[in-house]
Amino acid sequence: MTAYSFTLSGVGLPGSEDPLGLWDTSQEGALSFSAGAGAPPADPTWRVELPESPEEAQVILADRIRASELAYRDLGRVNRELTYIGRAETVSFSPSDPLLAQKAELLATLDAFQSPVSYGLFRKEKESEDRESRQQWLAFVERVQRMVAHYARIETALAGRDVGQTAVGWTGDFTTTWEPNVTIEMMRAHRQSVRLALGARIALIRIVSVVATGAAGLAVKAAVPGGQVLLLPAVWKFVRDVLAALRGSWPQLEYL
Amino acid sequence: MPGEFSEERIIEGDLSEEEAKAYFEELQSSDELLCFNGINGATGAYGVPPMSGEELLSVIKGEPQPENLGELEQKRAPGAFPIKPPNDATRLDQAGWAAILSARSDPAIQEALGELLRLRQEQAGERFKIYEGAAGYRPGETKDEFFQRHKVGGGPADPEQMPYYVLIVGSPEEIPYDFQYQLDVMRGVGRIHFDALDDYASYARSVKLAETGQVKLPRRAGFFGVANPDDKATQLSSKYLISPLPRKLREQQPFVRWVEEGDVRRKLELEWQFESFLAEQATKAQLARLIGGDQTPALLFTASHGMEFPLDDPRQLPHQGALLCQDWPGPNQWRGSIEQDFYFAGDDVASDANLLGLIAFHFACFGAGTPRLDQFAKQAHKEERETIAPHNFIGGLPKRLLSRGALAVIGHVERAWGYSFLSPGVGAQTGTFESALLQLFRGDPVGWTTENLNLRYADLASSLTTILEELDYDPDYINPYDLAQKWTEHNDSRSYVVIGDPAVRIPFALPDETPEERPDLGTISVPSGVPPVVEAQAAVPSSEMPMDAESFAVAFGLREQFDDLTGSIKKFTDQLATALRDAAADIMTMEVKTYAVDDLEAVAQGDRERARLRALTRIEFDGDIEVYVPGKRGEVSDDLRQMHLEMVREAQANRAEFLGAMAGMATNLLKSLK
Repeated sequence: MTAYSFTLSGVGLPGSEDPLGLWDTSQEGALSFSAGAGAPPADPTWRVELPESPEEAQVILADRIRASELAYRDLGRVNRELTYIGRAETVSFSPSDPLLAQKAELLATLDAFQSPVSYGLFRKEKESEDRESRQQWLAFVERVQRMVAHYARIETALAGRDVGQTAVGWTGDFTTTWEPNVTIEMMRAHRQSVRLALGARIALIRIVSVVATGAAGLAVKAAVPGGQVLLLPAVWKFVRDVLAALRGSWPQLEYL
Repeated sequence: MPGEFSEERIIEGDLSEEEAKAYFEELQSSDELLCFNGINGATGAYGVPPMSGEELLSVIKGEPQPENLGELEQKRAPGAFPIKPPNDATRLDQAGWAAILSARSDPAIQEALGELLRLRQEQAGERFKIYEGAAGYRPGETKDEFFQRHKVGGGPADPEQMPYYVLIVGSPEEIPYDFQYQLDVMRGVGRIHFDALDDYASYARSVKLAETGQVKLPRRAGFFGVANPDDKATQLSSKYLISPLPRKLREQQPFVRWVEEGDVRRKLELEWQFESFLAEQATKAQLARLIGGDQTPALLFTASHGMEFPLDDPRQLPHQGALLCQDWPGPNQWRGSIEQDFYFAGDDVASDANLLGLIAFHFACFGAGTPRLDQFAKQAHKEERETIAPHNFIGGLPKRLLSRGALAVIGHVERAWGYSFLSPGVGAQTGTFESALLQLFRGDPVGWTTENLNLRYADLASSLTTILEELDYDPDYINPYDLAQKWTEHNDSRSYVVIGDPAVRIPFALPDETPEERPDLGTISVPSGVPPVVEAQAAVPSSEMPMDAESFAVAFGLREQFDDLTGSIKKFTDQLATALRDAAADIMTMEVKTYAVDDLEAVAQGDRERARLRALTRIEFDGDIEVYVPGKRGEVSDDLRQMHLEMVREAQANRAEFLGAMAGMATNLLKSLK
């Protein structure tokens, strides 16, 4: 099995998953949301480890680029689904709709807000689910916040040897440093890593937008005062779950 | 038709001035009826009834002066060039590429076109632009107003101001045909609009496959010319256009193409194979073999009637502009509604048709699209232009071709007239087609090849204006048939449009390459089943909302949640505001730096001392770019220099997208707090 990895660290949230399913965040360091006040956190770092063979590296990167395209496309679909649910007078689903469960869950939450008592908004088990969703949404926002507040650092290594490193500032300044014996193939691999990382960063920002506009649309539909805020966790969960469900229908990619 | 002049001489356009004059006089004395393209599918009659030269003259006198006459005259001036020198229109990094979307365009469309946009960005580099959102086309805007807003000057295209190749993304209702015509005078313009997001994604994939060397078609072109019985219009187009075209092109072979390989320019001599399907061979079944069947060529040129349907006819939207084939027995043998068995429409293209790489050229009425209002009525001096369609639209056939892999369709919006093939003395229009096709066979971008038609239009529009002014003083200034010839040629060259990306080329195999089967188009799926959407609207106060948000939260025990969530958003938006304020000075410039270092690990630990700056690019907000490299030649390798430039492009693309996404996020979060 070829050794390769795409990891994101430095966003300070151990265990938080990438909703796009593209970057591994499991190797996150000890920094955490609550620990942020102590030592200054490192910049969010996107690290790509590739095998030595340029051909193999290229295939791995091509697969990852394809996966990114699919993920961004899926995000567009989530946005449309939310808009449709928010606008339609009544929403009917086909039993064969692969997103039936996620839509039903979101509508149930909406019903609960519209009629809090009869729909059991205050049931104990629901309360715990809601708290978990809320914590996850807050953690995600915190993570995006950290991501955009700091430099993005992108590193590419081939066979364990660092070949290129790019730091991207808030206003888009690029500083790239190359190791001395870098070849054009290695440089290209790093450029693709940069594109992948920055694309993913923008997609995560867009997820915040999709959740916020989705919640706003549903709040209008449900006529819930403050629904645009209160519905954020439920919409976030919907977005995350739908993205995960749609990933299941991606074509087979060897290196994902 | 007068028999004194041989067909060959008329086809070749080699009549002397005196002979041409005599020819036109003979047409006039015999009151020759002029027949035009277009058959009404509901009645089976001609879309525009045949008329004499005198009758047509009265129509032509109603021709209004083109609104952009000044620009047309500039274009036809000797030595004029549509793109500012020394830019090469066949190179995207010099000519540039832009997409114009409606200001209210659905963002999902851009997402679906992602592959195409990224490809063009790579190819055009700094000369890649997307006009969208506030920068997009605004309802009712003219080309001049659009240019003014974007600080683009008139005259030959300056790609630094606005790229030469422009893809309009949107229906002609959103971005009108008039805007496209006006833009087309000094730009290479195309348009796409599909009903489903899948089709946008599929088209983007087709262009990407074609432009990344994954399609190598045999150099084969098909010429399909209908000549229906008792029908003068198609008999003329078959005889004077489709028959001579391949012969004239064959005489000019081999077509020369220069390719650049590093510093070396290599000359390629290209031989094409032409196959003609004329009259009895030009059946619907044959066309099906050419469009998706086993004979699908790299380029297909058709000349036939285009189908017209009356307003509110259910067939109008799907079938207007469909190609009437030889199967129609002609006006004498067939009366009444035209059956679909006689014509080839979009829904006749097989669902598994693979048209990858095809470029089609349809000479037919409404072959590319239909305007809502009849242009002919305007020319005929009628007070009101007749409404001929519920709205402006692109034809069903070109849309279907593009969704199945074709790269572009060149055709008419409006009527094609056809009489102009009969062009004694000059044979001009065939020459215009020859030039356009020759360039396509050479591998030039389609938007550049249609410059031939645009130039011809500019030339004819200017001279026609002069003729019409002269006619006001001297009714005998020109023979009506001579004028009819000029006018129809002018009309035919005016309303050609490219449906598709104007920068596409025919992806043919070079002489040292082996042609390959078309690769599988695959199934490209952008989820559908939901109506086209624009971003969800922010919440608005509703009369049904009984209380404010905070009171609601308190009343239902949701205070903690509410405070947590609003606190988080507020913290984020406050941070964004601070970051924006801090960045306000920095944002005026962008720097891209390239360093080389012996110990990358040390740099990772924060030690930049040992890093040597090898290249620096500073881009000012107003677009000024400064590039710094070490003074001694050879200190920076070509690879490093090239990669630095690629990083500059990445940085530019990222900055625009990042700031756009940030602005969107900030706006949406702030709306949540309201």
